[in-house]
Amino acid sequence: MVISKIWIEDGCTACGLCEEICPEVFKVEDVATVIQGVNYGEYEEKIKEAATSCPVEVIRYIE
Amino acid sequence: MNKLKTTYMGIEMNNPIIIGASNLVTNTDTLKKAEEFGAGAIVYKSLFEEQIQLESFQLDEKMTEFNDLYAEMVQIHPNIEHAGPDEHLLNIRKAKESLTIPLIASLNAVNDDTWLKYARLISQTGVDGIELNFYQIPLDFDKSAKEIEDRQINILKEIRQNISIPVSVKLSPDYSNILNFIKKLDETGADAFVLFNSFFQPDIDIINEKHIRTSHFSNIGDYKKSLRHAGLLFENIKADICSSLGIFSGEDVVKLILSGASCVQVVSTIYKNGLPQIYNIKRELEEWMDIKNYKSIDDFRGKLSRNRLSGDPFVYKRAQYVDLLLNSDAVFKVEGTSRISSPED
Repeated sequence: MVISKIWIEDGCTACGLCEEICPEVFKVEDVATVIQGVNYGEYEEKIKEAATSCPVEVIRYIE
Repeated sequence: MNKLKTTYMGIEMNNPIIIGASNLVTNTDTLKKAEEFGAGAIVYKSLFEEQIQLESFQLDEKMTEFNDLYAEMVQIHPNIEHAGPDEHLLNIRKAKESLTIPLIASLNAVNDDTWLKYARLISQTGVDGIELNFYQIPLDFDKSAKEIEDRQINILKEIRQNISIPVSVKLSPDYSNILNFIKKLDETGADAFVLFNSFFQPDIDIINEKHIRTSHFSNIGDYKKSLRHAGLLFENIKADICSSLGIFSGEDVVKLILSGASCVQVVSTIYKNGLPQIYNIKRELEEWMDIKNYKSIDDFRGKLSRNRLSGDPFVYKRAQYVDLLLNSDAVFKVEGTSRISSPED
């Protein structure tokens, strides 16, 4: 299964962990955002790791 | 008067809350924000042996030697573009210049030469102190505990003899007799002990039958081992005690200081609650001190340490499990029954 959609739910603490793990897909300023226009399939493992590592578990994705 | 003021290895701090070494505090903006929210001090992200080896072009096979993951590391093999020790040292210097609160550097080396060389270089950046991360994942069946401890004592000795800024040692609890080891490090000249660091632990996905990475954040309540050791060490060593691991709230900070800590390090709670948590912890600590009418941290620091205990003298010695068993009839008594269960059931 390929990741087709990623989004960030409310509650991001802007810790920056997702951007450290997968800067190709996540950018953190005031809160984390998902960079659009990226082929998520190329970074699937890193996206999943970012979601698992998120301390407040706000990263969601659909496969 | 600032009643939260404290001293840690000779460094004056406005309060006892230190942001521990992590990727949280690497860029100047975040460092400034942490200061604005009231951090007492910051430990800058560690310089790792891996970064140094990368710079020395000794990457390849050598990298596998460093797969003992330390919880502060996000990736095993750091991004080569931004991982060089020279850049790290420059960033420490910039961070120090941008802050008014104390900045402590952190070193996580492997080779003896690296420890001394980079401790020296770090001390020249203007930081207020340096934290040495000693740990050894048990992988070698032939190496004795004494060999490991002697080597770490020698590393501290060398560094102590060659740099003048305060030096703390961050330890894991996994030593045969950590009190004896700390005593030796104390005699060697450590200015403080940070108790404890945490590590990644492996886990297994049973569906796919492979190892998986797990969350490396500490959890609420994980501070209890740190509390026990602060209580055992207070007034038995010259060095200060900085408690770390699983400290989430002002209430936790109060408990650690009552046990004997001079200050605490927080990381996971900041990841989970954001930088404003520093302010919340400070406020909770201050409110508790007001209720109890304490005018300074020293008024209650170590009040419940082993040396000062007037009540149960065995509280730090006893495994509470045994205590529960001995008193199980009373502890587990429920209406209509004399005993429903004990930890052994």
